[in-house]
This record gives sequence, structure tokens and C-alpha cells, in this order.
Amino acid sequence: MICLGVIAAYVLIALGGMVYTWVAEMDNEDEILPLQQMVHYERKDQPPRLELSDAILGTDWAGKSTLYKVLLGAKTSLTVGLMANIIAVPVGLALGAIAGYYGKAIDDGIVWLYTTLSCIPGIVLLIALKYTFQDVTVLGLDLSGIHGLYIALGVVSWIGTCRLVRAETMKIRELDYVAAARAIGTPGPVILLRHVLPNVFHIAIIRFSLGFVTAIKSEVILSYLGLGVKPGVPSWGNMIDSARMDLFMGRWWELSFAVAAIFVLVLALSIFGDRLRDALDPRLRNV
Amino acid sequence: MGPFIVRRLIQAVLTIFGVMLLTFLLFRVGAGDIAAAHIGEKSTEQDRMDWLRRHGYDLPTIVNVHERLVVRDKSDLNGRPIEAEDAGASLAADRLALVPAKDTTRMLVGRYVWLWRTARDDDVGNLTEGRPLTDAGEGTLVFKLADGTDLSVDPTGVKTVGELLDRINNHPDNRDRLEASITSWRLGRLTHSQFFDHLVNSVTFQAESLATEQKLTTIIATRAPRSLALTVPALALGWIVAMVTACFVAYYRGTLADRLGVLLSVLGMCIPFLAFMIYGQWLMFHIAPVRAYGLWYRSNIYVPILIMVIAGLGPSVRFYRTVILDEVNRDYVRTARAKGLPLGGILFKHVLKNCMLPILTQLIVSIPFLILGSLLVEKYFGIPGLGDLMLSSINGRDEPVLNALVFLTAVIYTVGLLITDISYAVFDPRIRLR
Repeated sequence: MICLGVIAAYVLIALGGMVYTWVAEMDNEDEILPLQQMVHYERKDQPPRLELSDAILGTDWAGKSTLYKVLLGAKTSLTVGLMANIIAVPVGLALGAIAGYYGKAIDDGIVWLYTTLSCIPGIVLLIALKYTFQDVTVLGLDLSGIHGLYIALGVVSWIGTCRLVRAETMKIRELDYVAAARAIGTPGPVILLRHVLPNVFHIAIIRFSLGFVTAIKSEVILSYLGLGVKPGVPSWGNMIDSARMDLFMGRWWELSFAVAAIFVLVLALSIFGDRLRDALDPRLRNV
Repeated sequence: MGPFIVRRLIQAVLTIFGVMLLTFLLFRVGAGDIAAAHIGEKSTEQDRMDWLRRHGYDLPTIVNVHERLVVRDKSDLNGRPIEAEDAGASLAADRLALVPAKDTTRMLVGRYVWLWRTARDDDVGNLTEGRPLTDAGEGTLVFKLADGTDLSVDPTGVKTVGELLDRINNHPDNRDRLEASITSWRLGRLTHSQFFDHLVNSVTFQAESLATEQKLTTIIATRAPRSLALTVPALALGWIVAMVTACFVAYYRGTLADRLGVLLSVLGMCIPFLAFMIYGQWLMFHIAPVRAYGLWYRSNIYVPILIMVIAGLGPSVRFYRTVILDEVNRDYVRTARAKGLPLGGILFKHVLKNCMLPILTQLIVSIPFLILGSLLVEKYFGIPGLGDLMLSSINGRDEPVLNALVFLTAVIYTVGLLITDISYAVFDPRIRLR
């Protein structure tokens, strides 16, 4: 229950961040500034103090409020998690069901595809994909930034879903009701949609919730390596990257609050994901 | 047994081929203009072509039909080498990328025709990557012949390949001294292409770094020990600590110690890996500043190892605990307990033996990281191993190095899995049924 509350709070903050960014873009009188323009050099590197009304959590080297950065970072992390899973889970679900149901050459092809992808360590594959996306623009989307991140994470994380769905579909295929449906001449795609998909859908839900955690963690690492979201975009990974030397100068706040924000969100998401998994399918405990 | 091993071998070979295909698509086809990153954006087309040819990047992507523009100088056997230059506003020599042939000074060659053959009626863009020979203004394409004279060809208005050849061959001053032609296609050397070079280079590690021109084998031989010095102890120590902790919490399952252990490992899993490194280094900096970065002292490696062990503890303990508890709930354990055997004895004598299978598989899966080291740890602590090399070759667009490292990890991983699968099949007959 607490987890759900925490997740809901993060979602609200992220939505607030979206509205804020949108309003700041629309606003022509420069009353509401986007984060990039909130520069106040006169109050740079301030530690957290109550007197700094809109910067209770201190300021960075350009006087930007750490509080705002942390809050706006929620938007980036949550969209990355959401988009990566929106790409990965349906692909994994569809390919897994098709491979498991039709078997033979189709199965071999799909299994070959995901074995090939999975024998390159995840982080290396992510880095390789983002490296390739460096100057690529597809359909007006600049893949060197956050859009490339969605796709790279999607490409890396559909494999787990596909594997589980395939195994489950292979079991379901042999069940009596599927055999009966085949016997009365129901075509394959209809059986897949009507009889197989509803019975493997819980895997997709579980993977969706657990995939969030992976995506958020990966965003942080890739942003730190300079391969994630573009510099200047408010994101926890960028915050950690820009503040990693701060600790040695005694400026602990920016780094620590970014880490804390990630920690709380990941904790809430993993507990929620685990509970969801235990409720929907206890057999998947080792996933 | 036999058919299983054969099938598994074929699968492994296909997977490794898949990796080669993937790295080719990612690092060669998708990577954009690698030459520009190495010799600068402003270099001339001929310099670029020279660089591409030196590294084999001028070859066609998949198959090579050996069709390209060839200009042969027949004027004098012992004169100066033939050259092509642009005079005035002409861009023809640059865009045709005419460079001296490998084995003779009598010949200039252009770039290979991309993908398929070209006929006389085809657009001249086939030879220039789609661009016209001149943009605007007057200019000539000048050939400096071996007998000391120059031959100026006017490239304006040339539309087709045939027109270009005719302008050179039927030039009034030519008198059979200069012969331009398109090489006729040779079926025998179809594999003289980037893809097949890539396959060979991947398997043999014969390529050279684009940045330093060092042999890959040398680079890997000098850097791999540093990565292994970091990851082998980290993996071994991490495994032992996680195993002991998991056995401990599994033995006291349901008690406060178990709950505390699970809680701590969940909390540990949620701290970003970067945070472990940053705070760990900061702590070390306060204890001994010179030990916090780099490898000037051999013992500097202890801190990164410790950080890897601690960061990896959470997920491993949780996983091993689940595996052990799954086994503890089985009938044979209940029987043994009913006979009055102590739980500790059962745990270490029978249960641990039976849950080695998933645990060993998990160990094998982490083998690729042995070679590559931990990318992040190496970068952060300044350990010049393979992971650090990989990250720097991404920034430097050093494609052969990147390709070799990804391929190496993939091969070791595949071979590791192959060996485990086969040894399982040998030792556990139930596995073969799958």
C-alpha cells in the first residue's frame, strides 16, 4: 500500500514536471522559466538551508535549485521506464506467443534472434546501440537523445518477456481447450488472440512492472556515460554525472538527493513488482 | 547424447554468426561516417578515399563485383606517376575519388560501384556516391601523364558513365595515351567485401585499432590481465560471501535474522551502482587519497573489488536464498528430517548439492564480465582494462576495437553456456529430455 502511494506520488510529480515544462515553453513573458534558464550565479553552491525558499535542498554550480532538478528528473526517469516497456513488452509478448504456438522454423528463428542478442551483455548492447544512434534521425526523431534511449532499452529488454511467454505458450498449446479449438477449425491467429494471449498476459504485466526498475537504472548509467539523455535535460543520471566530483569539495547535496530519489522509486517499484508477481503467478519467483 | 551435442553445437555456431552480423550492422553499416571522425570533416575526398582504402572501408558492403572506374596511362613506361587534379571549379577528381592503384603507378582507380553493376547508360552518380561532377562554374579535370604532358578533360554536363569514358578516351589530345574504362566484373572474388573482411577479422582478431594502429591481440594481451585482476577476485569473493549469507538466512528462515538479511539485500539492490562507487571512492579518499584512483599502486585494486562485492551481494543473496528454500521444501528433506537428521547436516550434505545447477548457471552467465571487467568500475577508478578501452573506443569511434571486444564477450559467453549445457546433459540425464 505504501509502495503504491510512493509510486503514485512519483507519477504526480512527473506529470507536474510535464505540465511545468509545457507551461514554461508556452510562456512568452519569461515569468515561468524552464530549468535550463534558472541560473542564479549569486547563490551558487549553496548547501541545503530552510531560508532558500525554492531551493531548500541547496543549489548547484549555476545556482539552479536541486529541489527542482530532482522533481523534474522524475519525469525523465518515468517516461524512460514507460516508453522502454511500451516498446519491449508487446514485442516480447507477440514474438513469444508466435514462437511458442507455431514452433518449428518460426520458433527457431525467434529463438536464434534472442539468443544472439542475449549473448552480448545488456549494458554492452545498450552502449553499442546508443553508439550507433549517435547521429541518426528517424522519422524526425533524434535518436542520439532520449528517443534512442527508449529504443535501445526496448531492444535489450524484450528478450526476457519473450522467453517466458514462449515457454508458457508451449505448455498452453498442448492443453485440451486449444486442441478442441484447433479441431473445430479455428484459425491459428484467432486461437492465439482468444485462447493463448489471455493466459500469458499476466507475464506481460509482471514484466512491465519489473522492467521499469531496469529501465530507470539503465538510464542513470547511460546518462553517466554520456550516452543517455542529452546534457541539460533534467534527469537523475545527468545530476549524478555533473555532481560526481562535488563530493570531494564537500558539496554532497545534489548527488545525494538524486541518489535518494532513485533509491526510493526503485525500492517502491521493486516491492510492488514482487508483490504483483507473487499474486499473479508465484511460479515465476526466480524471474 | 550425440544428437543433443550436435544440435547444441550448431546452435552455438549460428549464434556466433548472428553476433557477427549484429556487430557488422551496428558498427559498420549503422555507424555513419567513421572516416570523418578520424581524419577530420574538412579533408578532401581523395584523402578520405585513401584512408578508407587503407582500412578496407572502401569495399562494397556485402558482395563485391569489382566494378569501378579505372584510368590507365599508356604514354610512357618510366615517367612520373599518373595523377588526377581539379582545375578551376571542377570537383570531378575529388568526387570520383581517383587514387593510385595499389600495385602500379600507371593506373588510377575510383571507388567500387555500390551494391551492383553499372552500365554505360547509367547515371554518373554511380561513381560519385550520387553527386554531380561539377557544381557550378568552369573547370577541368586534369590528368598528369607519365610523358610530362597534361590532359585536360571538361567534365561539365556529363550525365552518364559512358559520356565520361568517351570524354576521356575520345579527347582530341589523347592519341591513345590514356584509357578510361569500367573494370569488367569478376565473379570469383565476390567475397572481397566489408562483410567478409569483418567475418575474418572477427574470428582471427587480426584487425588494428584505427586510433593507435596497434594490433588488437597486443592491446587485449596488455589490458586483459588488469580487467581479470579486478573481476576474478570480485566474482570469487562475491560468490563465497553471497553463498555463506544465503545458507545462513535459509537456515534461520522465518526468524529475525532471515528478515533482516532479505531486507538488507532488497535495500542494497535499490541503491544505484554509481552511488556505491562514488561514495566508496569518497570514503577511500578520506582514508588514503592516493589509493582512490588509478593503478599506481598494485593494492589500489582492493577498493574497486570490495565495491563490486558489496554491490553484487543483494541480488545474489536473494537469488541463492530462493533457490535453497525451493529445495528445502522438497519431500526428501522432510523425510530426512523425520528420520531425525539435523537441518544443518541436510542443508550442507544434500540441499546444497541439488541447488548447484541454477547457481552454477548464474555463475556462467556472469563470465563475460570477467573479460570486459566492469565497464563502470574501470572507468570510475581509472583502471586501464578492457572495459575502459571499450568506453574510450566508443568516444574515439574506434570500430575494430569495439567490434573485437563485443565479439570476444559474446563468444566466451556462448562457449561457456555450451560447455555447461553439455556437462549438465552428461551428469543429469533428465536435462536431455528438454
